[in-house]
Amino acid sequence: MRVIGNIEMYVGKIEQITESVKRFYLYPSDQKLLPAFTGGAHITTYVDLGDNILEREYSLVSHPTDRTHYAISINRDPHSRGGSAYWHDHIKVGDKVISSFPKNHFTLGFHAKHHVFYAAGIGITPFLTMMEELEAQGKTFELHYAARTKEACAYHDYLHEKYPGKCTFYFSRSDEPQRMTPETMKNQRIGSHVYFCGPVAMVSEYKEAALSYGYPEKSIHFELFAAASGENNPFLVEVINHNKVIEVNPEQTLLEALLDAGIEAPYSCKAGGCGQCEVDVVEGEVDHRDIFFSDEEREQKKMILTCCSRAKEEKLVLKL
Amino acid sequence: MYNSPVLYDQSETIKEKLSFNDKRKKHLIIYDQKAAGDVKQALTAHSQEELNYEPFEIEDAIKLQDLRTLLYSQKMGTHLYIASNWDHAATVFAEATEAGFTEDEIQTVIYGPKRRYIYCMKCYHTSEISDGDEVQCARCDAYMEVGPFFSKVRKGYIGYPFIPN
Amino acid sequence: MFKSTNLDLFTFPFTNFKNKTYRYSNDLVALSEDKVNFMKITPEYKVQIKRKREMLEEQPEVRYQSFPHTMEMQWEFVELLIDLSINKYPEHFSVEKDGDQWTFTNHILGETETFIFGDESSLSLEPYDMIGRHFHNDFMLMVNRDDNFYLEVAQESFAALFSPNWNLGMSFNEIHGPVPFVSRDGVELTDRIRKFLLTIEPGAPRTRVNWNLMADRWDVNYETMDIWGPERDKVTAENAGKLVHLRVEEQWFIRMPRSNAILFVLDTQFLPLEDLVLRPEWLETTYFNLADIPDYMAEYKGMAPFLPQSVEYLENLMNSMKVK
Repeated sequence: MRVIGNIEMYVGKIEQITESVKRFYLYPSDQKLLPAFTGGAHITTYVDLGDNILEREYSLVSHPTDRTHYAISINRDPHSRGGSAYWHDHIKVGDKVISSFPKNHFTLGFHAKHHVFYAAGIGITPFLTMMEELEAQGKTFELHYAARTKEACAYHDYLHEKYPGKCTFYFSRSDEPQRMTPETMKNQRIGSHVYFCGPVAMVSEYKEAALSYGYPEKSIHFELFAAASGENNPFLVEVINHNKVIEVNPEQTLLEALLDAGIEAPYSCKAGGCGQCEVDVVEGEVDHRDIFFSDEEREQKKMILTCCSRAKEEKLVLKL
Repeated sequence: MYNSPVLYDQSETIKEKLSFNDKRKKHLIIYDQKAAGDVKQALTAHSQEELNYEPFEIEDAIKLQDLRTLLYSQKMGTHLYIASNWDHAATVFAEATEAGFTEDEIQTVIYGPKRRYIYCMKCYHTSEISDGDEVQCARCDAYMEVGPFFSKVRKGYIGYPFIPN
Repeated sequence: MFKSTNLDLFTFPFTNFKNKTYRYSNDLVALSEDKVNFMKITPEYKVQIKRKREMLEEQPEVRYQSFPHTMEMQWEFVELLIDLSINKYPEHFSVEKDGDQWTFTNHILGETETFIFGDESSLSLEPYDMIGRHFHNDFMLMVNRDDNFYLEVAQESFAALFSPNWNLGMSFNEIHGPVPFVSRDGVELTDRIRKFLLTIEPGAPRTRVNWNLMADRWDVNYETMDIWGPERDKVTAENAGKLVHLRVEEQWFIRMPRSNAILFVLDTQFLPLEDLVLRPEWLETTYFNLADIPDYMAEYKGMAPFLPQSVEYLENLMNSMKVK
C-alpha cells in the first residue's frame, strides 16, 4: 500500500464528454493499486512542460473504491490560467502525469440529515463522488445543476438515469430559459447541509443567501475554482521567527514569495478555500481575499491565508 | 450518531434567560409550565418586531409522538428554544438533535437543578451524582474524584479512582 | 517488564529544545521516504507482544475499542500494516494474496492468519485488533469528521493518561480540552494542533517525539490511577535510577485516504534513568532538561511527585562520573 510521495501515472484514455469537457483516465505506471478515496476528493496533477511544471487540482470523478485508475473531468475554460487549455490541446493517450494522493477538503457533513448540492457548470465534478457515497449509504440528497444548454451539461444523461427524481437541471440558454436560484434552500428540512461548487461569484451569492435564510455556518460547504482577484500591490513581509524580510511583488502571491525565500509555508488549494495556508499575523492590516474566514473570524483573529490574501498597506509581520 | 450533542450541565446551549437569535428566520419555543411566565414576557417584549415564532407547551408529561412531529417538520433557519426543568429539557434536546438541530441552533434555559453524571473508570458505569468533587460509584463503590473531561459517548464526567486515606 | 537494550534503536527525545530547555511544541516533522515505515523489530519484540496480548486478553474492554461502522477503515489499516511489515522485514513477515483470500505469516512467532479480505466474519477478532496484535505499537484511528478528529478505533497497551474505553468517540479537543497545554512561548496549543492535523494529507505522513517519566510503571491509565497515583511517592533520590524510567513515544501520523482518518501510531520505549550512564551525553542533556521543567508541565505530565528526586539522582550520578 502506498504511503508517501506522489504517483507516476499515464493517460490511458480520453473521452469527449461535452463540447468543452474531456474526461481523462489516469493509470499508475507501476500497475500497483491506487489509494481509494472519499466523496469530494481531488488530486493535484503535475505535468512536465520542460521549462516548468503545470500544477493543477482536479476533483476525482472515478468511483471512490475503484483502485485501478483515477479519472478527472476538465472543462476547457477560455479564461483559464493555461491549465485546462494545455490539458485539452496537448495531453495525449500515453502521456506521463504525476498525481498526488487523493486529498479531500470538501467532505460530506457527518451529522447532516439531508444533503443539497448546487453545481454551476463544471462545478458538478466533486458532487459525482459525493452522491455515489450517499447512495451507497442510503442517505437522502438532491442536486441542483446549472448549465447553458442540455448539450453543454456534463454527465446530464448519467445523472438523470442514475438518480431519478433527485436532480433538477437549469439550462439558461434553452428555449424556455431557467435560472438556478438560491431560493430552493429556503424550504429544506432541519438538519440539511448545503454544498456549492462553481465560480467565485456563484459560491459567494449562495453562501450569502444561505446565511440570510438562517443557515448556521457549519451547515454550509463550498469549493471554489479559483481565488478571487484584485489589484496586486507589492508589499514587504517580515517573518519574525525566521528573521527574514521578504519582498512580495505584484506578480506573485504571498505564499509564492514565502516558498521562494525557503520558508516551509503550508498550503494546499491555492484558491482561498481550504484554509490550509493559514498563518498568524503579528502586525499589519490584512486585505482578506479568501472566502474561508467568516467576517467574525476576520475581526477576532489575526490570521492570513497566504495563497490569496495580501497586505492592505506596505508591510505585514508574520509568524510561522 | 455517536458524537451527537448531549445536554449536560456545561452545555454551550445553556443560557441564563431566553434571548432570541437574530440570525434565524423562525423561533420554535418549547417550554413547560415553570417557564410559561417568562416565555410570555419575552414574547411581549418582542411584540413590536413581528417575530416569527411557534410556541409549544409541554403539559405534565411529554407526548413523544407530538414532539417528534413538531421537530421533524421544521425547516432550516429555525432556532429552537427549550425552557423547562432538566428532565423535559433533556428529552427535547435528545429528540431535537436526532431530528437534525445542531448545538448552534438550540438554546436551553433550565428551571431548577441541573443533573450531573459520572463515568466510573473502575467498572465503566455511568451514574448520577450530587454536587461535590468526590463521590462513590453507585455500582462498585469505588471512590472517585470528578474529573474535568466529559464524554458524549459515556454521557458523564470522568471519575478518577482513588483510595481514601 | 522490559527496557530498551539496543540503544541504537532507542529514540532519545531531547533533541527538540532551545537553550537546553524543553517545552511542548506542535512540531510535527515531515517524514522522508526512508523513515515512513514505522515497523521496528527490536530485541524486545517477543516480550512486548506477549505483554500486549495478555493485556488485550485480560482486559479487552480497557485495551481495545471500536465502533461497528469502522469495518472498512479497519481493513484499510490491515492492508497498511501487512504491506509495511513485509516491505521492511521480508525475512520476518510474508503475505500471500489469492484474490480476497489472504494468508499473513509472522515468521518470528510462527503464526499464520488466514482470512477473506473485507469479510469480518472470516476472523475471530475484529480486523484491526487481529493485525495490531502482531506489532508492539499502540494504534489510534482519529477520523476526520467536519473540522475535527474523533477517536473511532483504538488498541492500546501503554497509556499515558489515556483510555480507549474512556476516549472512544471523543474529538481531539474533547480529549485534551480542559487542560492547559502550552507552547514554549505560552500559546494555547490544542486548537492549533487540531488545525495542524487537518493539514496532514495522504502521501505526506508526519512524525513527532513525546516523552515522560514513569515511576515503576509501564502504563498509567485512568483505570488504575488509584494504584499508581500513590506509588509515585515512593521514589527517592536513591532508588530513582531503577524505579524511574524515561518513557519515549515516537509518534507517526498517517492520513488514511479511504477512511479520511489520521492513523496515530505510537512506539513506546523505556530506559531506566540508571542506564543513561551508557551514553554520558544523554545523561547530561536529560539532567538539564528535567531540572528546568516548569511546575505546570510537571503536573500535566503527572511527574510532579517524583521529579525533584529524579533530578537529584541524575545530578549525583553526573558528579560520581566526574569523580571517576
